[in-house]
Amino acid sequence: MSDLLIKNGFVYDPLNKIDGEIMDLAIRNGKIVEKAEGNNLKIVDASGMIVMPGGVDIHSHIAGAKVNAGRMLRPEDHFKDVEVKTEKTRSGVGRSIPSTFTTGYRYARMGYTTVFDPAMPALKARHTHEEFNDTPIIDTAAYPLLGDSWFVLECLAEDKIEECAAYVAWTMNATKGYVVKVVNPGGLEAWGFGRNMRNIDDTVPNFNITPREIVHGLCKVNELLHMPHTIHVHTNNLGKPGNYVTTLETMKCVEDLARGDKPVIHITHCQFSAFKGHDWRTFASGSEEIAKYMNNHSHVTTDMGQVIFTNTTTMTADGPFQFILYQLSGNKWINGDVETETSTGIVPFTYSRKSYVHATQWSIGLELALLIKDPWKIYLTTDHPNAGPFIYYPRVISWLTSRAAREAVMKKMNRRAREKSLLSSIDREYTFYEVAIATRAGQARALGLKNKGHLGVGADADLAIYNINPTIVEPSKDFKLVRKAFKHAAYTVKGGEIVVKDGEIVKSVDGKTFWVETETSCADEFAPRLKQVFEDYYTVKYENYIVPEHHLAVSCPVHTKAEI
Amino acid sequence: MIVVDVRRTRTADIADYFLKVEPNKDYEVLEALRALVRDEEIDVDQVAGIPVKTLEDLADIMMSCKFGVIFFGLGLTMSAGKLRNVDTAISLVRDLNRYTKFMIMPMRGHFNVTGANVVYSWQTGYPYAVDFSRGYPRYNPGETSVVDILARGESDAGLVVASDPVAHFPKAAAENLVKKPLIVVDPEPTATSLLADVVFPSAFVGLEAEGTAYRMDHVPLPLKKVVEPPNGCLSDVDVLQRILDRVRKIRREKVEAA
Repeated sequence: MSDLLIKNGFVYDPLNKIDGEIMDLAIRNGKIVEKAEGNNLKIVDASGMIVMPGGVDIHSHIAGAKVNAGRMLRPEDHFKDVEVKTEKTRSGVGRSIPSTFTTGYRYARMGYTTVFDPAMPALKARHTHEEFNDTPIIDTAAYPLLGDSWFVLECLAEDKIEECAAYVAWTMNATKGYVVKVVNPGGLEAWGFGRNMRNIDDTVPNFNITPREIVHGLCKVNELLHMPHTIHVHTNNLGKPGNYVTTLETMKCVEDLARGDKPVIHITHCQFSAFKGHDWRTFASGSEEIAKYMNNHSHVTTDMGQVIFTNTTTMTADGPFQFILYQLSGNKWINGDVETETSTGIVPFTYSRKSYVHATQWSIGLELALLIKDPWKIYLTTDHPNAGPFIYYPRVISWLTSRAAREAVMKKMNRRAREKSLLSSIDREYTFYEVAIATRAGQARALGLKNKGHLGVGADADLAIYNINPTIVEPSKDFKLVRKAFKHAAYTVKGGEIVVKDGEIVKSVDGKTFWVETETSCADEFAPRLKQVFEDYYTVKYENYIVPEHHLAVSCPVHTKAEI
Repeated sequence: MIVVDVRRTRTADIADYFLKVEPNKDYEVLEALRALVRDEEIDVDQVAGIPVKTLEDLADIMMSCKFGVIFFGLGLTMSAGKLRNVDTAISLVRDLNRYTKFMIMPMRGHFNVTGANVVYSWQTGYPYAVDFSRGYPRYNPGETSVVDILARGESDAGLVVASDPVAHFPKAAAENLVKKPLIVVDPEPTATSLLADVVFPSAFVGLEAEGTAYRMDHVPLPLKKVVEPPNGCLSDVDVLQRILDRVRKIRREKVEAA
C-alpha cells in the first residue's frame, strides 16, 4: 500500500479542535501519520473541499435476523431501486432495507466508514456476523439485546449485580457484541404474554422486577465491565403520546450512577420518546422538556431518530410497539418471539407531511438537535430504517445547517403541526464543525472508539472529502449544494485506501467487526452455572451458542478488564 | 399434540388427537376454527368431514392452553387454496392471541433450505427465484422461479447443488432439466445425479466440512467437521469457488483475445 497525502483541504476534526483549517494529512499503512513519503506517494488534491473523518453511525439497523425478515417481507421495497453490478461492485437492491453489499456501498458513497447495528438477538448472533462478512467497506459492530433476557431479569430481581455482570461479559465474548442494548425493558418479556409495561415502575410478569431496576442494574453492570459505550436504551412506552415523562424518568433513574462528566446512558432515537399529549388528538412535542433536562445534565447522550417524509420499514425488538403500528397503519406485519431473550416486529410505514402526527414527529427530531445546546450530546440518525432510510442523511444535515431548508419543508407540511412547531422560533444553524461532531466525532467518542472520528496521528485513516468550499458556500442559503456534496463524497478513504471517487465505488475493501473482549476473574467458576441455564432454558447447546472469532471476516476485539 | 392430516401418519399415531380432514378442505376447517374462536355459531353439523362438536372442543383447547404453536407443511401450502390457506392460518393465530400466546411456524424440509433463503435474502433482497440476467437481482415467482423456467424450456444448462429436482419437480420440468447439460454437486447419489452429465461428489457438511445451517425458526447453528473427507473430495463451497475462478479466467482470456 503506497503512502497517501491529502493536500490543502479544509479540515474539520472536532476531537482535535480543528475547525476548517487548511491542512495536509499524511497516511501510511491505514493510519494517519506525521509525514508521508516514498517513491510512489499518491497525492489527493483536496483544495476547495471539506475533509472530515469518516462518518460514524451509532444506530442503524443494517444486518441480522430482523433486517433480513424485513427484506423477505417487502419485495416491493426493492423493485424500484436496484444496484447494477459493475467491475468493482456486486449487484443488489435498495431501498429502506438494502441488501448487504448495497448497504456498504451506499454508506461509503456518503463518506461513512463505521456503522453499528443496534439490535442483535444474542441467539442469532451468528446470523448478524455472517451478514457483516458480506457488508463491504464499512466497519461494523452489533449490540446484543439484554434488557429482557431471563437470566438478566433473574439476577437483577435478586440484586445479584456481579452474577449479572459475569453473564453480560460472557454474552459479549460469546456473541461478539459491543454494547449492552436495552429495548422497552421488561415490556418485551411481558409482551410474550400479551402485556406491556405502562411505566418504569410496573412489575414484569413472572419476574419480580421493574424497568427502573433493569435499567439501573444494567447501568451498574456496564460500569463494572468498563464497557467502551454506555448502556443503549430504547425507552418504555416508545411511540406513545405522553412518553416524554417515561423518558425523563429513565434518564433520572441513573443520575446517581453519574461520575463527573462521563455519560452513563444513551437514550436512542429520542424523537420517538419525546411525545406529549394524552392521545393522538392531543399529541404534541415534548422536545423542550427533554432538551432542558439534557442541557442541565451531562450523564445522558442521545441520537435524533429524525423522521423523513417517505415510505420506509419500521423494525424494532419492541414487539408491542410494532403491534400498535400495525393497528394504526393496517399494513402487513411480522411479530416474533426469540425464546427467552427478546421479541421483534416489522411493519412497512409511510410518514406523510400532511399528517399532523408525522409532521410533528419530523419537527421533534430537529427541535431536539437544535435545542440541546451541546452537539456532543445528540447525534444524527434516522434510526434507519425506522424513521427513514439512511440515504436521506444529507437532507437531515441540510435541515440542521439551514433554517431556510427547514422552512421549505414546513411550508408544505400539515398546517396545525407547522403552527405548533417550535422550529419557527429557533434560529440556530449548525456549522460544519458541529455537523462533523453530530455525524462522526461525537458518535465515535460516545462509542469509545479511540481511533475513529478524528484525524490525529495514529487514528485510522478513514476519511471523507466533500466537494464544498466553506469560504464560498453559505450552508444556510445554499442548502441544496450542501445536500449534494454530502450525498456523493468526492473521495472516501477507508483504512488508507481510496474506496470512493466522485461518488462512485472505485475499490471494495473488507470492513472490520468490533466486539468487546471482557476479562473477568470469575469466568471459570461461572461456566457451570451458565451451562445449566442453557440446559434449562435454551433450545441450543451452550457450545453452539458461541460465535467463534474465526467466524468474523476481520475480527477487531476491544479489550476491557472488568471489576469482577 | 393435535395432528390434522388427510391420512393417518406415524406422527398421528403418537398424537393426543387426530383429525382427518377431507383433501383440499383445509381452508374450510381453518375458517370454521376462526369462527369458533370469535364466538360465532356454525350452522352445519360438520366441516370437511370433521364434526363441529370436535372443532368446538379443539377451539376450546387452543384458547385455553398457555402457549400453543401451529406447524404447517406442504399439505397446507400446496393443496387447493395455496397461499390463502396460510393467510387464514395466520389469521387464526392472530385471533387466538387475544386469548393466549400462540405462534405459527412453517415446517421446512431438505436440511438447510432455510439457510439458502436467508443468504439469498441478505445478498439480493429476495428469498428464492432470483434472476441476475439484467445485471441486478430480479424476483418474480412464476416467471423467475426454477420450476417455471424449466417447464417453459428456457434454460440452456443446469447446476444443481445439494438438491434432487428430478425426484421432486413436475415431470415436464424434470425432463427439460436433464435434456440440457446438467451439473450436480451433491454428497450423495440422487435421481438427479444419476441423470447428470457431470457430478462432483462433495464432502458432507457437518461431518467432513464445517459450515452453518439455519434451523426452521431461523436460528443459525454451527456444523462441525469431525472426519476428513475421502481423498480429492471437496466441500461444495470449494467446488463452486473453483468453478467461479475458472469461469472468470475464461472470460478474462476472451476479453483479452478480443
